[in-house]
Amino acid sequence: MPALGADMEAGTLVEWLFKPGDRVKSGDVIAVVETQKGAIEVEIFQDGVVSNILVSVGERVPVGTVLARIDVVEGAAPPVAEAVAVAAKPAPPTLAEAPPPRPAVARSGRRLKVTPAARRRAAALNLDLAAIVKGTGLEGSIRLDDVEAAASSAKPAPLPAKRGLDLSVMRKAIAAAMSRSKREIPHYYLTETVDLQAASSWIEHFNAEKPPIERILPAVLFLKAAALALRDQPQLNGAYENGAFVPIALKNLILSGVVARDSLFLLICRRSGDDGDSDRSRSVFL
Amino acid sequence: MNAPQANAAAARMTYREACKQALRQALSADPRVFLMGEDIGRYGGCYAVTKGLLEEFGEERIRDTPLSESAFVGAGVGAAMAGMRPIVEIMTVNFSLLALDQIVNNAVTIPHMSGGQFAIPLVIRMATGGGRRVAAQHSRSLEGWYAHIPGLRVLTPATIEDARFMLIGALADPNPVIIFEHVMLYNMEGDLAPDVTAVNIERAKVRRAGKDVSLITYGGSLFKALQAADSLASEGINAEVVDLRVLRPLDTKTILESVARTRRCVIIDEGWRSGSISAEIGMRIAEEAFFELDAPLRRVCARETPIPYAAHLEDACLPQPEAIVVAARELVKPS
Repeated sequence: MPALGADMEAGTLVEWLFKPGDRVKSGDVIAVVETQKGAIEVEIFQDGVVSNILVSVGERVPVGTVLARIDVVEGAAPPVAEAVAVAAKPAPPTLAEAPPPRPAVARSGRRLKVTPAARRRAAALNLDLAAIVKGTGLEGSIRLDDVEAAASSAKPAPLPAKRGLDLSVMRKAIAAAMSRSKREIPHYYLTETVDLQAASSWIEHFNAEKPPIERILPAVLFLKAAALALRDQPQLNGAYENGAFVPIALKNLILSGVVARDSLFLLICRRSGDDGDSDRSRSVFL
Repeated sequence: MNAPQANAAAARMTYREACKQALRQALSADPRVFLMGEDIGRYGGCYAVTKGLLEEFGEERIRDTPLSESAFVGAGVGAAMAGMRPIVEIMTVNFSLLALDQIVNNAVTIPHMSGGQFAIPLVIRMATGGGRRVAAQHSRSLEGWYAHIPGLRVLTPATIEDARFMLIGALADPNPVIIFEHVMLYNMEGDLAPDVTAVNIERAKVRRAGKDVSLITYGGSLFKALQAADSLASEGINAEVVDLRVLRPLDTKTILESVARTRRCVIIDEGWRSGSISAEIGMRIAEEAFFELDAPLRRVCARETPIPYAAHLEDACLPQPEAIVVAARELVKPS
């Protein structure tokens, strides 16, 4: 599960676009993952054949979890690469409270000892028994008290393959990311006056013969200007990691904003061609 | 002269006296009732339950028999078939093995095989259990065996009240009934409430209400369980004590209701655990209350050995309150 955002801790796999045996090549979108901010496509960065799908649709897993294995077709690479996980950036350190790693009791093959009454109660509460770290019953069995305690510790049950967005969660994620960027990234502000007459005339002319759907807004020019500036001055686009500046390759520009009470608006300007023109825009409403 | 003391205040008496009053009431109420058994007349019964009844009711109705359980139990079956209401005393359950054929093959089957033409309204009383330092051949608890037999009703009065009043119901039953009196209870004293004149012989009874664990038992072990419950209470464990009272037919409903309340259960049985009534109870709970359980089932039974003669060994062999406390505590507060 790649980190599809600086603040992403886990994602829900909503769709596999390949099945075991399928050939994939670097750049293919192989899966769709739902994050707190929306459904995002997962790219593969390796050529090979899908050998094994390890996370099924609807499952929510932490960042870093291996989603599938790819048999690398040629080259000196090890025969089986944990392709997706390799491609994924390690989860960035986050100031938000990370949930402690869930003991994978249920999946590791060790059988949980759960009393019948506790099992029935947990089912009624939709409580994941694997989340109870230690039972207090005989031989460490999980019993009613443990289930009630787990339920009342207000840990909401893990989303059972819920499709769609939890908007309150999204709002929390936005707030956390905004606060963090403001806190950790030095902000500075420069002011310059630019005559936009030429730009606005160009837009007027460009839009004149176009149906509304194809018209562009002045903001698009600002984005293009920003993109061109970053291309010319790459030292402006990067981050300090371990005391050294690491430039970030210019790929897409993303402009985001909240356009209605419960929606997040993302404008993604994709780089196309070698000239760096951002001549196509695609907007995604969530 | 023998009517229950209806207007008196609570009467204090021994279990032995309660048994005797029950017999006296039955003899007085119905001329068809008579007693039969070894040493019950002139000697007054090996546990002195029938002492004085010979003088009171005469040789016709208080009959000493030869030392042949098969013969006098068989005679009881015949008398019952012929319309009498015999109450047969077998000294102890150990000797009843000599009469198994009469009980299991005859008394139980005749009503069934005669298509109901012959009822067998026979009551057999016998002492059971250990603790009296009388060694292996006199200390067994075999009531669980009898509870295996369809057609028998098996009663285990543990309280003064049940000792006093279960006999009335037993005599009214057209089928054979066995009453097991635990040897360690005869000297127990207790109060008989003046307003009680009858008890049912169908239902188990909760003798102490609790919420943390059910102690299910009967007969002589009831008081060990109650003692254990007191001890458990002092460490914050609230035990419920269920007195089965009737081993056959088992009152499964009361058992299941108790387990549904407490979700934990210790069964205490002076019989050996293998193939015992405690095994039957545990299995019924597993079958019908599995999803109520919040802990494994536990049993405290006699050690699987002939009951020893030596006092310390006999004590170690039989269920004791300490063992009940340990078993219950383990279910409620492990570690």
